[in-house]
Parts: sequence; C-alpha cells; structure tokens
Amino acid sequence: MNNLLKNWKTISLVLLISLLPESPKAQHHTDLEATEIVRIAVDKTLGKTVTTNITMKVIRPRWTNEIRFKIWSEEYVKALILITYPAKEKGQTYLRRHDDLWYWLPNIQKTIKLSSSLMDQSWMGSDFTNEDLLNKSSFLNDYQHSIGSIEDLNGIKCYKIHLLPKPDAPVVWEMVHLWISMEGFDQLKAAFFGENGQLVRTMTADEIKNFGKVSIPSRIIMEPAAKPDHRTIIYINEFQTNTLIDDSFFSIQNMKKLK
Amino acid sequence: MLIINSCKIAWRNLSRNSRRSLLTIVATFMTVFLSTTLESLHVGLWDNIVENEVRFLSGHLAIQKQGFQRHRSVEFIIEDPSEIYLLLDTMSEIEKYNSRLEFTLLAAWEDKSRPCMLSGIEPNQTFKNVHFKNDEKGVWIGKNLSQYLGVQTGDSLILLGQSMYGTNSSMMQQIIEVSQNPIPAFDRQLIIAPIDMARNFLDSEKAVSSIFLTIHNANELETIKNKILEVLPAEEFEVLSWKEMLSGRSPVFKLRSFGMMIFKGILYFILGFTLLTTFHMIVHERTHEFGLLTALGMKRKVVILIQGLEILYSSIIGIFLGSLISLSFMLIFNRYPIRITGDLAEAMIKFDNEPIIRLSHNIEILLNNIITAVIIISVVSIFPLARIMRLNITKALNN
Repeated sequence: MNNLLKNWKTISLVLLISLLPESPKAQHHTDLEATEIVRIAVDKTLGKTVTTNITMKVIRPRWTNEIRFKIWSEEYVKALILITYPAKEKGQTYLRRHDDLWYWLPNIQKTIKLSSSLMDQSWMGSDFTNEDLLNKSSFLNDYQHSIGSIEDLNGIKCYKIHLLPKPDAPVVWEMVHLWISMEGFDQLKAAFFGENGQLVRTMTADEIKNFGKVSIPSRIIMEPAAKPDHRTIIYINEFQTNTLIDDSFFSIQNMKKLK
Repeated sequence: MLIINSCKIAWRNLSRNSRRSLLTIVATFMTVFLSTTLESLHVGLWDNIVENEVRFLSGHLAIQKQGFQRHRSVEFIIEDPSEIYLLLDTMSEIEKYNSRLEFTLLAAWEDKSRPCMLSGIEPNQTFKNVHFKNDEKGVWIGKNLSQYLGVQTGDSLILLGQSMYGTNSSMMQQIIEVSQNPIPAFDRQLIIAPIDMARNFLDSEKAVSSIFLTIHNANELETIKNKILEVLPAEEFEVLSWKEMLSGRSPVFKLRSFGMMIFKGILYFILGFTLLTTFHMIVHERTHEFGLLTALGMKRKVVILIQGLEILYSSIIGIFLGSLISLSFMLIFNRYPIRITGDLAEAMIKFDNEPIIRLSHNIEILLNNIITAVIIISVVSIFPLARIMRLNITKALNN
C-alpha cells in the first residue's frame, strides 16, 4: 500500500515535470513569433534611416485639403517633418527627438515645444495624430503582441495580430488589431480600439508600389469610426531607406533652416 | 335724485376749502407725474444704450450658423455668405448689413500667451470705437491684454490658432492701437482686426461668422426674423435678435427689469403713504363736521358717498393734470434730449453711448402708471371711508 502510494507520487511527479514546460514554451514561441512578424513589418518601413515624400488629402463633408510634406527619420527615435505645400504652411517643421517634440513656425520665427500629451492630437487637421507620423515604431515597442488568427484580406493572406499596450507605454489605445501580409510583411490594416473595446478608427493600406529596394503600400487611408464622412488619405510619392543622414540634421537649429 | 344731489354737494365741498382740495389734487398729481416721468427717463436711458449698441455696433438681427453663439469656434463659420447676401439685397425692410468674422485663438508675446477672441470687422465699420480704413492693416487690443503680455503700440503680436482646415495657423500683426475697453471681458481678451486679416488667418476668402442687419422699423423685428428663417435652412442657421445677443453677453441687461421693478415698488410705496396721510388728515380735520351731519340725520352711507366722490373728483383732476404734464414732458424731452457735459458725458462716451438724456415717449408707460395710480388711490381711500363708517357721533361732536 505504502509502495503504491510512493509509486503514485513518483508517477504524478514525472507526469507533472513532463507536462509543465510544454505549454508555456508553446505560448512563448507564438508570442515571439508575433513580435518578430511586427518587427519585420516595422523594419521594412523604417530601416536605419528613411526619407519619404508624402501627399496627404484630408477629406471632410464640405471640403478637401491637400498637404505635401517630407519626413526624415532615424532608427526609431528621431524624426523631422517639413511641410512643402500649401504656400501658407510651407516651411513649418516638426522635430521629434526621443520623447521631445518641437514645432517651428517660420512666419513668426518661433519654436514651440509640444508637450508629449499632444502626441495623440490631430496632425494638421487630419485623422492622423502626431504619434502616427512621428513615432512609427510604436506598434513594435509599446505593445505586447500575440497572433490572433490568419485572415484573408482582399485576397491576401494576413496574420491578424493582437496588440495590447505594455503596462507603462504612453499610448491611448486599449487594443490594436494589426493585419500583416504573410508574404510581403506589409501592414495592410490596423483597427484601433479605445475605452471599453470600442472601435475608434481604422487604417487601411493598399496600392503596393516598388520604391527601389522595397515594395510597400503607397496609399494609406485613415477613417474615424464615429464620423463616416471623414477620411484622410496618404500617398507615398518617394520612399528611400538607409540614406546617410547626419545626426545634426535632427536638431532645432536645422529645423529652422530647412526650406 | 340722491346721487345727483350728492354729486353736487361733493363738487361744492371741493371749492369750499380750496387749500384742502388742492392738497389732494397735488398728491394724486404727483403719483402719476413722478412715476411716469421717472420711468420714461429710465426706459429712455436704456433705449439710448440699446439703440447705440444696435445701430453702431452690430444690428437689430444677426444671422449665424447654429451653435456659433455658444461655441464661437471655427467649426461654426459661414464659409461663403454670398447667397445670404443675395437674399438680404432683395429685402427692402433691411436698411443695411455688415459682417464680422469672430473666433478664438492664442495671442502671444515673448514667453506669455492668453486665449483671446479675434473680431474681424469690415473696413469703414466701427466696432467698440475701433475703425479700419480700406486696406488698413494691424490689430487693436485692450489695455489689460497689452499689460499682461507686456506689449505696446507698434509691437508685433503673435497670433496662433487653427485654419478652417484644422491646420496650424500663425501670424504676426502689428498693434496699431491699445485702448481701454470699459467692459472687462473685452479689455482682457478682445482683439479687433480687419476682416481680411481674419480670413487670411483662417485660410478662407469669404468666411464670416455673423451677419448683422439694421432694419428700418424696429417694430418689424419678429416679422423680418421669421421671413429670413423661412428661406434659410433652420437646421443650419439661426437668426438672433439684439435682445438674444445682448442677454448672452451682458448680465446688466437681465438685471434691468428687476432693478426697475424694485425702483417702482419703492416709488409707489412712498406715493401711497403720501396719499394715505393726506386722506387721513382730511377726515381728521372734518371729524366734527361728519359727526354733526350724522347727528342731524344724514345717513352714514350718504356721508361716505359724498366723501368718496370728493376723493374721486380730486383724483380725476390730479390724474388728468399729471398725465397731461408728464405726456408733454415725455414728448418734449424725447424730441429735444438734454445734452450732458463733463465727467458724466465722458463716462457715457466710454461706454459707447451718446451723452444725452432722452425720455421715452412710449404711451404704455403713461397708461400703466395711470392704472397703477387708480389702484393705489382706490386701496388708500378705503381707510378714510372706513373711519367715517366707524365714527362715534358723541366723540366726534365733542372734538
């Protein structure tokens, strides 16, 4: 009887040991995979340095406004935007260095430091926020990733990845769903959820275009869920990665000089 | 027969002691005259303020987008008012109209800034004593704002805000005038600029926020308002009368009727007591006479009737004279207002008012006060009549 009990204990212990590491390992594996997928997708559009030329159309029920601008970014932490059109806004620049954000107004010769709480504010009246344009690595660094499912998006097989913000991440979304194509690792769709898991806005990307070394979606549409007739479309006209940009380029002195 | 006789006796009684009758007549006269003239003075002064406000600052009516009155933001701006202008041009009731473009922005200088309200006005229009000629540039600001920011005439004020498209908008504008505005809120945060500058800031060529209409006949206000609302889509636009516009801005306006009510209450109270003492004195003076009449066999009812008729006669004369004189006062001083000079005049000019005292010639004021006087007299005359009723003949005769 005693022996039997001892045996049982051994057996159960063996069973436990053999079973225990199995499930966490599997979980860990898929998480890592999800993060890897996001990393590849984000790296594709960021690289070491990136120079882009963008046309943005803000569409509202009664008017449409066009803004053209250039973005330079380095690694994940520095970015500079120069507005080139329309004439009234031409020459305005935005600079992000790590967590600081500045804004230069040439017509009044003033630099304005924006508080980081303004990162989720609309950029130039569009449906994109300062965060969207100046902190593109947010998806990778501020969230924990897990693969939800594999979905078909307009005939393209995509990983649907669930993004939940890391405990101290400075993000406003409660949850983000990101669709990344299995073949090209392009971010084709993102759904942003706010409080109580309510859908706040949807981003879709299409018209994949070849820009020399990489092919990425050249049209990105942002639509707020609450305002069905509001829309902002971004067209990527030029896209260059890994060009040589001097560190002093991302400085307040330089943001005043750019034209 | 009794009534006719009583009427005759009462009439004769009036002339029997002319000093006494005169006193009653003067008391009723004063009730009507004082309350009417003082009220028409009060109303006249207020009308003057309103008239100035309406004529020189804005208009009788304003057309705005729904929601502008409350939010005053760029969202509620009329982007292209051309069609509204076309409509207004066809309406002969409208004397003239002018537009303003108002929105909030941030005014800054060196390291200080303050949220302000920018009022873009058309050239050759006066608003708060500010006036821009054609193609004139620059901005006017209040003294308090200039002190807070530390700027003065000639400095370039920095303006920051948003354009119609939500893009950032900024400008540097030279301050061409700093002056004190008597209304603290305006002195603190109003910036007046030419409308073209305001449009440029918003990036919109035609935008206006309010269209102010001056009409020929102020009594047609409601009719014209409804006529405009019939044509313009009501869910998009609203038409506000000057009353609605002022009530939102000036609490003084709301206090006006309340203050007038208290003032009239006190006045009627004083006049009522003056009448009461006069009547009381008359009865007291004639106690012996009334006692004698009753003792000789005249019925108390008849004594009361005769005394009541006496009060009635003197009141009618008093009210008639009072109405006549106050009406002529109203008409004369409405036609030829009193010009004031000195400090008071300066204070009035500062408040954007013409320095004149003009009486209102609204006949309603007179009628209301006559009615009130009649009510007061009727109530007050109960006391002397009741005294005759309770008259002790022996005591009265021994008096």
